[in-house]
Amino acid sequence: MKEEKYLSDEELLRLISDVEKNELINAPCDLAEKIMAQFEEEEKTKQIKLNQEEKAFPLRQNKEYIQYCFRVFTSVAAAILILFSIPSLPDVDTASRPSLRIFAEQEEGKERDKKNISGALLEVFDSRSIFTGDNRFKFFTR
Amino acid sequence: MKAVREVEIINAKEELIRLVQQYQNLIFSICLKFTGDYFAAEDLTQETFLAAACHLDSFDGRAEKAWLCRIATNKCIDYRKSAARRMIPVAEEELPVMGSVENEPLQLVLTREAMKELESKCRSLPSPYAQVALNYFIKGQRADEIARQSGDKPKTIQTRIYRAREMLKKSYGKELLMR
Repeated sequence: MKEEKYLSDEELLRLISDVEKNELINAPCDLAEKIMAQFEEEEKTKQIKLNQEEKAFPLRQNKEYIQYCFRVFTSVAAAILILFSIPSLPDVDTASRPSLRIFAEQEEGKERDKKNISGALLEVFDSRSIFTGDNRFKFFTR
Repeated sequence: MKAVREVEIINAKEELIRLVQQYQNLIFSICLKFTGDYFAAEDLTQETFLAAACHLDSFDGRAEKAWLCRIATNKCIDYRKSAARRMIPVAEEELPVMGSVENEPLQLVLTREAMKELESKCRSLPSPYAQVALNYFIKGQRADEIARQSGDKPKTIQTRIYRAREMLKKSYGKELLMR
């Protein structure tokens, strides 16, 4: 069997002019519809494959999302690094840091106030004498 | 991203419609010249346009007709090669040799003979299918036109066209094996 070769450019152009000069054969009437239907079918298949890939690997499709994730991870890594490097920092003396001293004094003041309030409440409860005789049950039945 | 892809698909579809409307007769005629088989020519024409639609983005836009015909002829030659491999081995002299472009009359005769052969095959079909096949394949009428003329339902005509097509394809296939 002789091996058939593809046409050269000259042969192709001669073939085209020959076909066009002589009577052209009409293509089947529904050929265009079949071609478009097949084209849409192939496009649908391609779209389904793309959607499946997007679902399986969403990061591939969204560059902005990838960049955002990268920024978040680097921030978290930096925070962890700082956290682990704090113990290696030198101890801080409260007296040498005015802001810390003021904070400590405020905290002491709050503790004192709490003690005063709780003491006052106890006095109130004692004067109302909820645990003494006649008013005991009246208190609970209100 | 999705919007860009949808625009690309719409553009490709419009371009494909334009190409089909402009060149379908030429491409079909070339395929029929190469194959001598109406149905193989139909399939190859379809494959040609679909391949062109896939490669539109890589096409530079020059010599559109030659580009399409190049795709068609290459597909036809590949089809002939694969058909030759499927054929029962016979002596080399008995094999139909594809005429080169210089043998112009051979190719013309092949095309006209192919249509005459199709017509005779259509006439040889059983009774309800013969007339439908002649109207559809030879005269190029649509199913709804044939239905209006014959008074039958369009669905009935479509079924007959489908069955006639299958019978004709089988007879072409048998001939290919016998060659």
